[in-house]
Amino acid sequence: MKHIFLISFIFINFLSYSHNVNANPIEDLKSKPSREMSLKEIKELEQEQRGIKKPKKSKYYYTYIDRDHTLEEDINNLVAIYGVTWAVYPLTQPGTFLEKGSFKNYKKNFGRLVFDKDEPFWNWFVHPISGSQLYLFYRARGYTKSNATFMSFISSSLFEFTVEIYTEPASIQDLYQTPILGSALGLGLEKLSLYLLNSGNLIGKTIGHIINPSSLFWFYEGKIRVIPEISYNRAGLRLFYEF
Amino acid sequence: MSFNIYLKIFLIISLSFKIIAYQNDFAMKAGFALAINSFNTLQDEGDIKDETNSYGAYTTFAYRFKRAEIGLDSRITLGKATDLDFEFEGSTVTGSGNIRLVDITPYFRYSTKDFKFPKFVERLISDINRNSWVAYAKLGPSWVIQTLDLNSLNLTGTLKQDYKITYESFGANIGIGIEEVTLFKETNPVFIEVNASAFESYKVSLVDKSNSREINILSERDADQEIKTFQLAFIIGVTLF
Repeated sequence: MKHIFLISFIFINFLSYSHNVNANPIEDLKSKPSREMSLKEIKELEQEQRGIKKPKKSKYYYTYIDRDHTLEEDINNLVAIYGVTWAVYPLTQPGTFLEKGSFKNYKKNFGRLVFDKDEPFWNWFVHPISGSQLYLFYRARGYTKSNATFMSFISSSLFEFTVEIYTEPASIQDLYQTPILGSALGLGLEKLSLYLLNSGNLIGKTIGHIINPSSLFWFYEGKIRVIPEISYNRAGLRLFYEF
Repeated sequence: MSFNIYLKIFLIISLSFKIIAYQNDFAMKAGFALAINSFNTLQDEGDIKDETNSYGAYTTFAYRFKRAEIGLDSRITLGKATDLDFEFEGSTVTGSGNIRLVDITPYFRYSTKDFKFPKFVERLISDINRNSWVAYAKLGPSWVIQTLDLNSLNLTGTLKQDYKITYESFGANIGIGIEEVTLFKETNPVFIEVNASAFESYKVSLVDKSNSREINILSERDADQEIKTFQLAFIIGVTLF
């Protein structure tokens, strides 16, 4: 069951009067007894007369909210990613998995650590991209940048030492480059995706979600609901944060 | 100046200011590296050396205590090699191409207390004293893979393409540098480092890279001290987070 907690309720009063915003609705309102109209009705009337359309739904704001995690949460996150790697590895490299993979190899490769001879495309492009997505997953779960890198390091090591050895021994370069280069790349993707996701246009949001897919899922904790509050004599924002 | 004077200057700098930087926290740093590599030509003639200039990326992930820091760092450098001529498994190999060097180094670093540059340096480089700096020294063992990615290998008369030779080496790395001191690492303090490494090979492999998705190791053998490399790297970078 999903629990929703309202942990942030910020109401900012910054507008104390609205005398000369628009003369017509005020004049119009003066003609009616104000006690008969609620603030909401006044706002709607004002917007209607000024030609402002009522927004269909509230807007979300994308950000990252760092928080502390319990050991149980850490383990749950690591287990979730570990399960995903067992599913993703054979799906993304079916040829290697079927041709080279065996439990005999698993036994032989267990505990071995070598320099792989892979091409730069794999070591400097594919692995850092994987690492960046690990980093962005942990960031989405509310880990600080440093802790997200550390958790990526653990996840990547678990993959190298207990999953990939089904086909090949653990690689020294991958152990380092996946989480570290991945986190550096992830930091760039994080900043770019936040800019695009908050840009307000559809193409920007789409690209933002593509480069940072974790922002699409339920586990993303940085999606804040922003509800503008405008009434006769004040305006503000309500911020809702779900986790 | 004598060694004693250098030592006194170092001690004065080390003990003169109070450090205010972040501590007991992880830090991820990245930067650019410019390196000069010098290595023997693998012909058991130790005095024959080849030199290449290379450039690349530097990254480190470390945990910082008050003055000490432990971490892992890595340099990935790329360089051009021309007119290489060496022995490989009893055959003469000649060719030109790229040399890639990747090292992984666990290190221990110790910093001085923070200091400011003298006024005449400040006049030369404006704003250099906006923040304090620390000097540091670091060292650690280094594991390296060097890849000779030649355009074509002339293996005793037989021209082979899509082959590469990789040497795995072990050595040591020492570095000295200066780093900006800021209260929060999020303000991206800068560091400048000079780094020296020396490696000796322990394994060599001939690799068929014709299928980039599935490399094929054709032969692999011990290569004790076959190739000795010295790398001097100049690094400039920032703390990312």
